[in-house]
Amino acid sequence: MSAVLEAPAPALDPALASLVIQESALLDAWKLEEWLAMYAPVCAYWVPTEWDQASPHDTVSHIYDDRRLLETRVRRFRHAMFHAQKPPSRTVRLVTNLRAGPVPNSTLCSYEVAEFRNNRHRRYVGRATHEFEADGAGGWLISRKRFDMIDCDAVLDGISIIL
Amino acid sequence: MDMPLPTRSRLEPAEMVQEGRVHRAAYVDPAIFEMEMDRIFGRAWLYLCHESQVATPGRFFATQMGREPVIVARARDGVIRAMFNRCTHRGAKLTMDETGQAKRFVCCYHGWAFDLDGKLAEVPLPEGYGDSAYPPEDGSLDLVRVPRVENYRGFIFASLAAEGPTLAEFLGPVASSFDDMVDRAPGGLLEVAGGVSRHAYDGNWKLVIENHNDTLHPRFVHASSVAAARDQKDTVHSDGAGEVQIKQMRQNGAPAAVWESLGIWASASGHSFMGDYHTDAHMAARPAEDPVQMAYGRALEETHGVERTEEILSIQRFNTVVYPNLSFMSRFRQLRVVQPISVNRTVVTTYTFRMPLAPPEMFRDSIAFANVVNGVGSLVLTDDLETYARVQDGLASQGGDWVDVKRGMGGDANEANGTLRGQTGTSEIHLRAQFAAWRRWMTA
Ligand code: FES
Ligand SMILES: [Fe+2]
Repeated sequence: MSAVLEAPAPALDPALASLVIQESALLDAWKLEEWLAMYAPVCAYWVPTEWDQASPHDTVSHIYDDRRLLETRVRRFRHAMFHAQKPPSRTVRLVTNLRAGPVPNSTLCSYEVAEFRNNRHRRYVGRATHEFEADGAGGWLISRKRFDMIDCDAVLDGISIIL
Repeated sequence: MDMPLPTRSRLEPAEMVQEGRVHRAAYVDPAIFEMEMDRIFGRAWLYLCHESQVATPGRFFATQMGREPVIVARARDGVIRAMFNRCTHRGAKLTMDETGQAKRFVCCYHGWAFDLDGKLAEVPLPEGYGDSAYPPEDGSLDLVRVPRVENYRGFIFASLAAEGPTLAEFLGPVASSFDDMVDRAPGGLLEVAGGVSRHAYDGNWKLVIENHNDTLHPRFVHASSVAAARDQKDTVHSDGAGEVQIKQMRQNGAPAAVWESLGIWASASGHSFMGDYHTDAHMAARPAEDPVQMAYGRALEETHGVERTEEILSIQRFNTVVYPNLSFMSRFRQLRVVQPISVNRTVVTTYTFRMPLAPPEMFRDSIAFANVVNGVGSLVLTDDLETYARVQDGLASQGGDWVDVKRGMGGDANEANGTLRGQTGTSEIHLRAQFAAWRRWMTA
């Protein structure tokens, strides 16, 4: 039996759990500025190209945004010439099997983003890890979101949405 | 009444390329695609891999040459060979791994085992195959070799044709872009590192090859990422990754005068390269007096001396396209291999190179650069891919049979290095060169 299953599972903090749900809901609702406000001033949004990829700095990623780039990514959605979002996508996310994550103040879940755009239905499936830090006012900010897709090392078409 | 089939060409390939225009069938006709696989991909020198990917005996790399799956392997004698990835018994593909270390290639089906040089070494239960000896001594059941393999400064190419021009003749003046890439590496050392970026699009393989030296498109295709990056506050935290990417996006918004004054060169074989439009001393997030750049300069001087180092760093090249299906950035160490899947489906694989004797920060910047230029979720690439698909859609229509490639025509000038230089940086000279080569391959 694997060590992961033998270790006593830490309890899932319900406050963090509801933030994961809220994060997903804001993306589906295209409330991107509100979504960005959930992130810490020093943060990362990461979609690796390798399963169990150790670092975003020595191996390429599908997406690796620090806070500065994440702001640029969000701003681009408001530009009239974002061609890859014409027509825009519609998305629905499934967050399931949500549990405490591998480090303190983190969560792990099974995550699926269903996207419909330009007559095409795509699915992005994998495990998502959210890490949080205290915001100093009794709440939490996301310091890191990592989405490991089961087909991370497959040949993929362009991904124009936020996963 | 007979309706004309929209994807059937009424013209022969020779007639599809005319002065300043190309027939749309070259992009949408499945029969033309099959002909391209035979006549272009079946004969031209195609890039296989870098020698660092098969550095020691037993290392192998599996790839495609057009429709053909091949294995590139370094055998115990140190020689790098390319062989068809197909068992000579009943045809099973021998390896499914893209890279690895092997002693032998053993077929999954009936256990035939091939040495690293392709020799059939062992056949289990040989007596059952009849009177003749298995494996046969005449080598008739050895793996079939790709007839020609050549190495230019560490870059390994092969041709499926037994005869034709040498690799050096084929590359001609664009060999200098490989020189640029190697010379910029301290000690002349380069290695493929940092994983691979892959992307696909619903469009013909030529569209990406045509786009890489298209200096007119960034202001339109990339308008959204240029604007979003320009409006970004640089006081917001970055760990370096965002800084490199935002800088690149802003650079795509260089004024028209910068693009127009760029050089663009094309050769008779259909290859081309463009000048660099980065005004920074180096694209990396670092100004010229940065300690990393200074350490890099010193490392280069150790290899080349001061004078030669200055000369090397003065070369300003962005994309180089080797027709038909290789595109690389010598200064930024990104190499893209274009794999045609069908007439309207293409896969592009990007490799990043590390310079082992350069400061490690430069590789970190290369990874960030790879993500913005070749990442499937890049703020830049996604708009290119969308554009390819729209072009493919448009060309499937009968609302016009010709693609116009006249921009800058008439102003092409002969250069001392054996290339033609476009009148301005946004000339479509590279497209005219590609289709001249296409016409030659397709008709000869
Ligand atoms: S097909 Fe390979 S051993 Fe039979
Ligand atoms: Fe582009």
